[in-house]
Amino acid sequence: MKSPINIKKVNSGKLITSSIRRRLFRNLATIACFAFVAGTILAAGFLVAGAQMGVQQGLDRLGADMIVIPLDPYARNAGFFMTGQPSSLYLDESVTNDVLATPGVLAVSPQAYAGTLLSVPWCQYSVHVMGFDPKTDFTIKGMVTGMPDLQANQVIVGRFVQGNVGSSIDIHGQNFTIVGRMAATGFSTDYSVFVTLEEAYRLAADSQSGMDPFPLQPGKISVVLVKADREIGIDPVLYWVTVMNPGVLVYPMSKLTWQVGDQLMVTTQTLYLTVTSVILVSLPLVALIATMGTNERRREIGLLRAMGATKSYVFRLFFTETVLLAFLGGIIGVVGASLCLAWFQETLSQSLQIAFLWPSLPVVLSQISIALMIAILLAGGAAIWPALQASKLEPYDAIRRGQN
Amino acid sequence: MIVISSITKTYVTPSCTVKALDEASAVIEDKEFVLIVGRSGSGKSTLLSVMGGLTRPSEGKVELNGRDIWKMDDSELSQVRNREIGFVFQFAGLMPTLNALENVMLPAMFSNNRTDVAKRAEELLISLGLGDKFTSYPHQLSGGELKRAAIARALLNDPGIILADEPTGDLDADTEMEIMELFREINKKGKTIIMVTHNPDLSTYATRVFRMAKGKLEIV
Repeated sequence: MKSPINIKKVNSGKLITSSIRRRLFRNLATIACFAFVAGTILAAGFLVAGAQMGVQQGLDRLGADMIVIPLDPYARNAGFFMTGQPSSLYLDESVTNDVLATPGVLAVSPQAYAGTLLSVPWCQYSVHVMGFDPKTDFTIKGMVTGMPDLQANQVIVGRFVQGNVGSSIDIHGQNFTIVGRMAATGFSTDYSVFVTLEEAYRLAADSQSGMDPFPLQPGKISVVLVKADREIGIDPVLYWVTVMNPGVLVYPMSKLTWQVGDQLMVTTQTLYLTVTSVILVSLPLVALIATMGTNERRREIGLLRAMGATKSYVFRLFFTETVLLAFLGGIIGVVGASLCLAWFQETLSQSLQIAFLWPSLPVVLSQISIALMIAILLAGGAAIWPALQASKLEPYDAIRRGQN
Repeated sequence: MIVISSITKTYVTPSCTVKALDEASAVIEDKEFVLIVGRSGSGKSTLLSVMGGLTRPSEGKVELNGRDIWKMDDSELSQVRNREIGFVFQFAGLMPTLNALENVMLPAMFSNNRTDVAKRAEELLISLGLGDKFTSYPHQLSGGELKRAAIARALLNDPGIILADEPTGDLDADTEMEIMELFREINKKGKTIIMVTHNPDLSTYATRVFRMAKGKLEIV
């Protein structure tokens, strides 16, 4: 009689997979544990790497080497770019020309925070209204394809603002036509609208009789974006701007990255603390599950040894099984975390108030490798002791105790 | 030939010391059908496991064709268990996660000779009346079928010696007789069979009978 199924041989893979299937619930729990570990590690890595990329890309798009802001120990105006936290501290408009007169300064462009629209039908978030000078601008135009010559009652919008180019939005009862949309930055510009400085002053003046008056006063600005002569070097120009313009704070863009880094630090530390906790909890848990499995399978161990399995084979069998579960869990965790991050990318960016961009492929691959590696190392660490115990069992003793 | 010389096995527990085997000695020639009878706890299963390289004795030696198996390293002893000895246990029969055919093929995993394993396993199962049970899992087999599958597995690598630990202990009288007849046939084909049982009525199948009492082995 021929075998109805094509079985040529039985191997370790068959033993492992059949064992995993037999104790499905427990093994699924173990897989879930590893999935959680790998997913958490990957999420933490992605968030940090994605935020760093977001900051870098945003800064590159701003195109400024430094910013001049009101003298303030907390440098609140600097934070506006990255975190969207508005500040009502202002400079006098004349600072723009003073800074431009500084040696080594190639270009300057002022921007003014007019105010915030807390609830508008054309954006799900609060929207910042910003004024800028189209004539001197070198930041906004870099983010808008086919930047038009901005007129009164025209507006450039960030990516979260709804409406097509050519459509209108209402700001404090006045219609503005959308004439351009900025590329995504991950910064506050994503939920900002940009009008000319003159329009910003007019809107601010008109809003004074309304419910939410804008804080901007005529002739005031929030920041001067500065482009330095790279041949001279950013640091010398920064020094001269600082020395020649007392009463203002000159903030290099590189420091802005650090500032965001500090903000990220709290988030990162929380994430890594979570990862560490997950690992510390998982290690004994997986070891316990593996030990339970070993105890339950004493009879099988005894049988395998009676049939000729060496101690090292039994060790490898049990060790590999746990590592395989870790690998499966790791893959599930990595895929799950990636999907969650992709789905909630914008929500995360908003809630954590950090710029977040999907990391580059090499970064993604390295983060995935790290997450899988840690899950497998965790499995290895947790499986060594139970696997050693399994291999050390005397065959007859294992069979007898396994029967009870 | 198996020679066991002054085998002693002592179990030390926190409360007492138990001498499971007490200076047990015997010489078992090739192609014998040896029955070791004794009451539960007399040490007969322990003796069988010492002879089969499953339990290390406290003292004494076990020689298999002139080689002391307890002086071998783990790898050598595992090869002896794989190639030269086939085991049939009372309860711990088959791997629950594998079907009958896979269970029978299992010893080939640890053997260098893996050619035609599936064919040989099929032939063994057919010869033992399990031709229609290839894909049945242990929980789908009756007591007698489980035992026959375990015997088929013990025979896969064509070992010279079959060690059977109470192989009929959990079977009804008819099935017991059927299994004992199988062992008799296997013995007639040139295999040495050493079987332990608490049932002295099975003595008729054996060429020689030993009695085990309080760890001591004596010929009947």
